[in-house]
Amino acid sequence: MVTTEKKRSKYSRLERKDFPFVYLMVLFPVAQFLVFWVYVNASSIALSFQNAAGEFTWNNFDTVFKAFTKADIFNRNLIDPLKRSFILWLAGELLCFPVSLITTYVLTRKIAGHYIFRVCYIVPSLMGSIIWTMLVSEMVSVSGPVTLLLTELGVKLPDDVTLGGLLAANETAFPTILAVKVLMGFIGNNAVLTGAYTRVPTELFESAQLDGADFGTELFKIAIPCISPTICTLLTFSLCSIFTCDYNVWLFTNGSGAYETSTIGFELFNLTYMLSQGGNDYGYPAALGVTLTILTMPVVIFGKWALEKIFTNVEV
Amino acid sequence: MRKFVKMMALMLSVLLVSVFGLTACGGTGTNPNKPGPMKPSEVDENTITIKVVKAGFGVDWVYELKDKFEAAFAEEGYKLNIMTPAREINGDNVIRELYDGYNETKVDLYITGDVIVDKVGEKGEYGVLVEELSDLVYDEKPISYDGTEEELTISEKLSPDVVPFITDSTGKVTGFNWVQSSAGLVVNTRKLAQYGITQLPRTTDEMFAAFEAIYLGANGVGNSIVSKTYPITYVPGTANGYAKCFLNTLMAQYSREFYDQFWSFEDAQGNNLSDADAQNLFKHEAVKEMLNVAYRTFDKYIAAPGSTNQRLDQAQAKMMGNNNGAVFMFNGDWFLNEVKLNYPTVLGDIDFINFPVVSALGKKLFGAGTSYNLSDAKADELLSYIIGLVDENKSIEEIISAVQTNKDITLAQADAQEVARARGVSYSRGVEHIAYITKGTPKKEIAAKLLRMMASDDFGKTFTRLANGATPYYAEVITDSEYAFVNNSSKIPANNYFSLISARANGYRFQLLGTNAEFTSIAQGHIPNHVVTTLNAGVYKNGEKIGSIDEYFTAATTLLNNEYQNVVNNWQAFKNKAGLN
Repeated sequence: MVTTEKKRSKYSRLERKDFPFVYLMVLFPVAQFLVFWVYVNASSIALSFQNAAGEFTWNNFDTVFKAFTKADIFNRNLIDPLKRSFILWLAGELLCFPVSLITTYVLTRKIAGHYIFRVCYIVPSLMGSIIWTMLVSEMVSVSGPVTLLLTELGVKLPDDVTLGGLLAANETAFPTILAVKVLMGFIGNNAVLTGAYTRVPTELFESAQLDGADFGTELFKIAIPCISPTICTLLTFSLCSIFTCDYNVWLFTNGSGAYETSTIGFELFNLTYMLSQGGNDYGYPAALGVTLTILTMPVVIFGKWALEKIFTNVEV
Repeated sequence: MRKFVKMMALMLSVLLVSVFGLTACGGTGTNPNKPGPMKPSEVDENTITIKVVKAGFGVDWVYELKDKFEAAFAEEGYKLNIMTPAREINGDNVIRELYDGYNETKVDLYITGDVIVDKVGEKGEYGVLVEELSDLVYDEKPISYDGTEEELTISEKLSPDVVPFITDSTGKVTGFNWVQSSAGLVVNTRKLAQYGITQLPRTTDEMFAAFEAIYLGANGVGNSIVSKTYPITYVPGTANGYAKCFLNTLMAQYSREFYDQFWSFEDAQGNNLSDADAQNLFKHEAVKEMLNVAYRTFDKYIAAPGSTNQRLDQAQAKMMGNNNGAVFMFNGDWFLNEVKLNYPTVLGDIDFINFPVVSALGKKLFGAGTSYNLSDAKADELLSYIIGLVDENKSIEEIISAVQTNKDITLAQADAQEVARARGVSYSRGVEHIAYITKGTPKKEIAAKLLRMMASDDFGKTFTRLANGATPYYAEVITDSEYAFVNNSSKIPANNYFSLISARANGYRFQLLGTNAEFTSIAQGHIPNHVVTTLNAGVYKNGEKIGSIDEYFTAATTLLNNEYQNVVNNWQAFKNKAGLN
């Protein structure tokens, strides 16, 4: 017997009508990816397999391998910069992010003076990073208020601090940058999180309050779960910068990365800048960039999967 | 509360509007002496549009040039449309605009800062972006302000030292070097005189003697901790290469032949050095002596507090001010221009001199084992004496005679010439300042005429008067400036023994290493920064001398060995990377 039953489509006619619109909407980010990632990075990827004569070579990756295992052709080892980047990233995500979740929530609940606090939070993030970095550099310079305060408090500072400030000593330079990163991190996601919190229906909180929920319960059992998609997105994005987090080291150190401050993001820029001074031989930094991308990819994919497991989507 | 918030919002709005409003006020061209850019509709076929970098020599000169050029070519109706000068008319910004091409930018001529000829020529990433100038400019004669031509062609007027900086690797001359500027030693003579020192240091040993007098105290003045005056300040990091100028000059003073080989890896005939010979350059005596001086100079303990991490303006403040200030700074003949706005009342305090000559040269020529067989101190004394005569522009015969008369030493002609040569070496930042005519501009003939006027003596005088500087085509000794700085800095390019150097990899070295760093084993090859950030010599501390200067030499030797070993270990990797197998 021959069955002539027509195969049924998974989608209704009404749904199929929406297809053009959906595809058009998807087309935009895809085009953006093709233009701003594939096109822009294609030459970088190609460069990583070329020497200065434009011939195919694996030497750039060999140099990258040596940079992480021993020393590259410029006698630099990139393990310490990589560690510093990771420390900066950890400080941002493990310390700053949870704190900013709480502080933003407190401000969203309109405590007394919340407008003032919000302005205090937002104004620094409106300042350009160059201005902000210059301001901080002055504050921690040899005659800056922070250094003078520490001296007045009797803190025993290394000789180099008394000669050049907190950013000019091996013992204090990176901790200073880390401290600045942490302080700025508290306000980093304020605007995004405020938007997410304000979308949580107030009825949920009112209902919880009638049931006797305290502040902590409201925050951890209602507010945070309700904004979990936003948290998941923010953390996924932050995973992308896990190996390239540099936090203005170039500006803080006048481009030297001295006093044990250099990060992998700084080194990547530094190498490219250094090589750009004499010619167009960017194979090594290109290979370093490709290597970091390859290292980052599984972290991001696994991280995204894990985050989605942890933060189940909440419809509000 | 709502009222307060509204008030805050209003105040912030007013603040933002005023900030943007004030920003917009810059460069409106309302100053009649510095007219702003023309409207596009006003630019006709006789008007050339130029972009000028705003650098240490200011831009007053370009507006006077405009007046003179338009007056000289009034009959033809040539005009200059000067776009608002900016610091950004430099490097990759200019290359991008040149790549966009004349049809897009309508700019005929760029008077830029650091744009390397090879980057805009055949070997550059984007191919030829500029016009060739051999016929248009260099084979022609300079045009004076009255429109007449001078006697010599521009090629004949130009120093051969400049030619490599205006010629690309294919041999085409496309750049026009428009300024000669010398890096050197800025000295606050008011502070220095307090220590009873009136003669500016001519040798590195004299400079270190002055350093020690200032740091330990002398002539009734306490040590640096008490006086709050330190020997030196500098700008570390990569933001500023003035300290590097000093170190490169030391190497060229010690041996010019070595210096040229160091930056090219080629012999005098232009042949590539063998691998071993090129590697051995990194342990040459000239490098060793340079590092010895570097470690003594950039010991952070003798620098004004804050020097290890500061910007240029902060270093300038230390030179011009008193509290925790400094006496010496490596800078250039543009320094006075840069500080005159902020420190107009103390400009008379500063003076300028060419970098001190490396004392090791004196030992090499006159020390133990030579026919003179002088002690180190006596050799340095003789070196200093001869330098003084060179600075006075004495001839070799006069120098030999003066040494015979006053020092009772028979000086060989070759040795007198060697000291004169070393003293005449001047590190030029000027060769980095190149003008280019945009490829394909229909007005290249007019732009070329402007460049020819810039090569004239008349323009040289304008530049000297308004910019306190010299051009590569004209140098004069200024005697009537109210500032010793201007009078003395003008003597350097006008000296008979003047020759210029720059530190840019070329030839085989450029192919192999491709960067302008001296060393491969330290961050960016930036030796002064490496010394500042790594040296803990323990020679000077708390206003006292607590150790031997041998500490410096030990550290210098370690770096020298590390660098040599790094070069040897990675030689094949450099070749592989450069595709030179």
